[in-house]
Amino acid sequence: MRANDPPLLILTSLSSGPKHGHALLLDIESFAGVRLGPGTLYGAITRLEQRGLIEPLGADDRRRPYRITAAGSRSLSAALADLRKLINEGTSRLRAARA
Amino acid sequence: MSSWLLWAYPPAWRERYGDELVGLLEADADGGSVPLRVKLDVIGAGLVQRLRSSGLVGDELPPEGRIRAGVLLVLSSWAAFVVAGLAFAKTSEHWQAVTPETDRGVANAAFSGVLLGAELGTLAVLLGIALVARPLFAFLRAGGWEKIHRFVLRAIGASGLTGVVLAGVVAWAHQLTNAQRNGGDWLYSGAFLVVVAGTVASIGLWTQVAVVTARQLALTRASLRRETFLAAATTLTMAVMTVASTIWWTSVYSALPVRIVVVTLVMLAATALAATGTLRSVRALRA
Repeated sequence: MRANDPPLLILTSLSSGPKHGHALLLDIESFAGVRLGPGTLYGAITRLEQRGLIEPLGADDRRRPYRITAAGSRSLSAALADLRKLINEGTSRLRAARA
Repeated sequence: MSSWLLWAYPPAWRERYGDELVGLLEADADGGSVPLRVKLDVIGAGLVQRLRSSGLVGDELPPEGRIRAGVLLVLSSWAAFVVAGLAFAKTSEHWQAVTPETDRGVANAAFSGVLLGAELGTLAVLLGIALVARPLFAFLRAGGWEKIHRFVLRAIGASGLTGVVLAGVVAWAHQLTNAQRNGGDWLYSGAFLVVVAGTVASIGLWTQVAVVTARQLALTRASLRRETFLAAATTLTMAVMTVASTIWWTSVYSALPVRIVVVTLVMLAATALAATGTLRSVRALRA
């Protein structure tokens, strides 16, 4: 999973609490500096919901919040661990190259 | 209102997420118009979602759904190839009469390759249809006609209308000179183009009938395996015909007509799509 993958960004955003589509877009832009397109966002929401990683809550008018599931939290932890490994590896190689 | 942007999405997706996405688009636009970049993002995502729902992309559908999607992509590609094949047949008629006998060796062999490919490909497609005859009858007995009748009637209507126009054009052609039939009479040329458009529409609509029906048939894994084999065979015949027709026109023409270039490009595109469908089915069979 890449750091700017829409599913990873959505799971990261939802890990701090349920959000609807517009709140997700604003939150992701604030912590990742990435403005997802609405089509891209809902494409990722569809896949995450199908895989049981997020779930919808009751709709308020046309705004439906989503929350991360237990499986989603485990998937996010695993993805972050992979990214951490990559960061550590890259950092140590850079240090070795500079030494 | 931004709801028209959802046309690219499958109906089931629109039913589930459509309102939410329109609400998001309107909140994001904040009373203004939706920017072009966002429109393109929504339409592009809709097309991807359609491919995912049909089983051509992603792994949301079970392997059986993906095998079927691959086979149906081959069938649709074959239909496009038939359109190109009809144009090829029209372009190549009487070619022996205008080609010196000494120049015909390679062209004759290539032309025979095209004909053989067309016969084998047609045989594979017909065999594929025959193999699902039993599930098709079961589907129709269980009320399936209700689900497909509007597609069938539309295809019959287009074919019937095209047949009537064609009969008129053929009768008319007998009263014209060779020059008038080949571009000299603009009214006749227009009627001929109507027949071409009707033929293409009829092939497209019958293909739609086949795809809509096949998606709803109860097919066993063994049956899907046989269909995948026939899809691969069809793809192979398409590749053979594309190569053979290219060899044929390079041996016959010194200056290349635009029509032949277009026909070859359609053949190439259809063959590439069919190969994609075959790969999709084979990979899903192994899953």
